[in-house]
Amino acid sequence: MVTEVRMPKLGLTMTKGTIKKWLKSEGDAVRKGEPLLIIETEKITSTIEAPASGYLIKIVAQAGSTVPVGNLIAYIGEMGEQIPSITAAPEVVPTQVAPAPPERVVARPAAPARVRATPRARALAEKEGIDLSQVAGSGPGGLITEDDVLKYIEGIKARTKLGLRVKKSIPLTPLRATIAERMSESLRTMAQVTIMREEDVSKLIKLREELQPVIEKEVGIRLTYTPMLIKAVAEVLKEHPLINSTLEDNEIKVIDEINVGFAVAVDHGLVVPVIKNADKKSLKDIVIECNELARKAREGTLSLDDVSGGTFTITNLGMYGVDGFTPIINPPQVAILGVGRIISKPAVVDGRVDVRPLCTFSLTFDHRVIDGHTAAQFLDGLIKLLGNETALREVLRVS
Amino acid sequence: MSAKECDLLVIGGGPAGFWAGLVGAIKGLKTILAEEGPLGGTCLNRGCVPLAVFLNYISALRLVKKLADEGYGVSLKDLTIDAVNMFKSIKSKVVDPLSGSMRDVLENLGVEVINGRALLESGNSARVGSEVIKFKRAVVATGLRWGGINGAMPPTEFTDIDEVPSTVVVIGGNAFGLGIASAFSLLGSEVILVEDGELLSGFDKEIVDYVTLALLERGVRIFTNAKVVNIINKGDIKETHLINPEGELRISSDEVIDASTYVPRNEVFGGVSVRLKGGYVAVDEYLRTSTPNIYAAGDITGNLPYAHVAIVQGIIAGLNASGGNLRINYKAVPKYLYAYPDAFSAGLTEAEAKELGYEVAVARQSLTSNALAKASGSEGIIKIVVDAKYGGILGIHGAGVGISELINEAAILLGLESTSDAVLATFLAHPTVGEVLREALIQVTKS
Ligand SMILES: Cc1cc2nc3c(=O)[nH]c(=O)nc-3n(C[C@H](O)[C@H](O)[C@H](O)COP(=O)(O)OP(=O)(O)OC[C@H]3O[C@@H](n4cnc5c(N)ncnc54)[C@H](O)[C@@H]3O)c2cc1C
Repeated sequence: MVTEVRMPKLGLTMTKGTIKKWLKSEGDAVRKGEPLLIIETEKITSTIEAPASGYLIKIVAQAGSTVPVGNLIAYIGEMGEQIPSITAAPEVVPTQVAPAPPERVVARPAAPARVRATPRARALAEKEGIDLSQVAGSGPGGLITEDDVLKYIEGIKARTKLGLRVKKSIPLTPLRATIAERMSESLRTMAQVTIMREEDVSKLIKLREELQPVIEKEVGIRLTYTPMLIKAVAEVLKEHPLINSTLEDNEIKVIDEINVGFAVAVDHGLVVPVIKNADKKSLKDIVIECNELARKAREGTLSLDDVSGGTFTITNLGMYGVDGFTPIINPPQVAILGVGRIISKPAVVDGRVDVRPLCTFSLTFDHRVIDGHTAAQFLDGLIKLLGNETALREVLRVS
Repeated sequence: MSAKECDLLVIGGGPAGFWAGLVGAIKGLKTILAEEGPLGGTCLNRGCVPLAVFLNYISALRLVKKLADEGYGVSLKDLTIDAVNMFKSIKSKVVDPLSGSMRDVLENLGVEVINGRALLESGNSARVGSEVIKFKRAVVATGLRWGGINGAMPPTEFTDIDEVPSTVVVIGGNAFGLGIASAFSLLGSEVILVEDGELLSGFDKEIVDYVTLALLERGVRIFTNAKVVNIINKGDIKETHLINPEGELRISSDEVIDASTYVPRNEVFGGVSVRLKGGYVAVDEYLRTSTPNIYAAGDITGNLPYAHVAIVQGIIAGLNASGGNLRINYKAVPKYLYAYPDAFSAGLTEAEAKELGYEVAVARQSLTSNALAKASGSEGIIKIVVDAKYGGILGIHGAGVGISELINEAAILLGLESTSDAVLATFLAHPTVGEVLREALIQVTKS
């Protein structure tokens, strides 16, 4: 009885394996369960045992060849036994040629593996940007068919590159793609450091309660902390010009306008409309503008102008119960302020423990431009202003 | 009594069995083929071949007549056709010699051909007459048993007629029914075709329309969505009762041929139980039955009952029984009407392609401007369904006298998954009928 030895499937995602080494030669006696060969896949190297006892009468796929899962690689049988003539030529994909020896000056490019595919498979692969050498062919003699390419596309969609099962694939919306690009660009290009401070914001709360009816009456909009913080931050930025700068062509350019962006969560993303010249605007104007920009953000009608020109950004995760976090700078800005929730906690006031409304402020800055103490001074300036009722009332004049 | 031993036993010597046995012998297996009748099976002896040869001869005669009638300088005194004699001659001069040469081919390769009815007794033994045969692997290819309802003639016996009927009812709007209907229509019979669904189911709609119109023009009467409920013999006259959406109908004729009634010849499995599917022998894509060393091929597997399906199944079953590992893929099986006119539908119809969500482009071309079609008397249309996004050829369909010359081009282009641009860059020779493919595909080029 001749037993066929086939390329085993060692894992869910394995489609082919490379024969590293035959541990037996043609004609050798083998016992069932004895190590027969070593194969290598993208993930593991593994010893394969002989599926039957007898003699290794024929090696079909030599060491070095890459063979699709399930394909014949050898026969085990009795000495002198006829092997069934091989009908389907073993679908051996030649692996890349060995690299040129080191003394060669000009390295030759590796010969591309010959890929056999139908015209329809080729047309589809070309349009979809699929590398056909990665696709296992199911057609006669390993020919890659359109179905094989479709299955491959489905396969890469159904698993992550590391082979994890995917429940659902969500195509990146252009907005999400932009965010992904800008966030990674931000972290790639800047040396970002985050500092945090937890502070008593009772004065801010008090002023909001005081100003809320006035604003409501004048413009019919509920006052939130965002416009108040924008205005306060704009004021403090005036005193800390380095925070309101950008790094361009090896120069730190301090910017003469104070344009404060605020992050707004929208479906599947985040947008950052900008209040231009926030330092020069009254609280009332900022309230109206914030309200308008937030509406446009939710409706998806923000113009390019609405979201450009920011010099500093505020992002508020307080409504989600977050305390401190490490916001990522919105390039080409050099700092961003994260605002956490306001929560009543025990705090020491004048040597006594009291319950106070506390809020954590997280400031991320670009350490290439700003040093720790400069950033700390800015944060301190903001917190001092928020804690000084008179000064704050002055800054937050309604009109 | 000593048993015969072999590596491969093939039961049935029709297209499927012949090819399975041939492949087994080429692959070096000791092969025995058991056939109870003449080699060639239904196709050679009582189906495709006599019908095709007959239709071809008639076409040739019609071409000669056309040359005479239309003043090509051919004169023809008296052209008469004795169909009964022609059928007899086709049997003795074409069919029987072909059957004999099939036996020669097999025997020259060392296949032992045993004449007799085989019955499987177990997973490795069978009986043929008084002989017991032990086998390692078997391919069962016993085909279908055709039987007319209520004494109607099965389509496998149409060549046995001793008189051309003046009126004939043909039941079955499939390729076989239409083939027989057009044969009798060419012989001058009044033909009534009855089908309980639509004609040529599975063919592209435009192709069906073309054929339907051509048959109607030839005077064939067609009843679709009509179910035959009874056939009553009244002396020499047969009365067919059918119900169609308009009510009940009775049609009198000299002959009724039923091309719609057949069952698989499973009785051969005797002592071996195999899984069935819809009454037919279930096989996997390697053509293995549920008993792994027994393969099945051909009409008995319940696929489209065409000789070309049987042949490919026979080849693959034979190769796999010889240690191969081939899978069958039915995606590009052409549906084939060899009749007058011919038709074929290969790959996806326009409707199927749309249903599958393809963005479809359709190329149509008529044979009227094709030089060689004029020479061979061919006419008709070709329709190609293309995936507009990638240019892949999804379906090729044709209808018209002689169009079936293109069916293999269609099968190859679809089987190898060609694209419109790949065909345009291929050197299809001129003048040929086949270059009509180029004329069609230029309309949908992607480049
Ligand atoms: C009128 C007509 C026209 C047709 N025209 C076409 C056409 O134009 N194109 C086309 O593709 N197809 C055509 N066909 C269909 C074609 O004939 C069949 O698809 C084909 O013959 C199937 O091949 P097969 O080998 O499966 O079976 P078959 O050809 O039927 O062969 C089976 C063989 O097995 C033998 N057998 C059965 N049981 C046993 C047993 N127990 N022991 C020994 N031997 C046994 C039978 O005698 C028979 O010879 C036509 C059919 C008919 C009836």
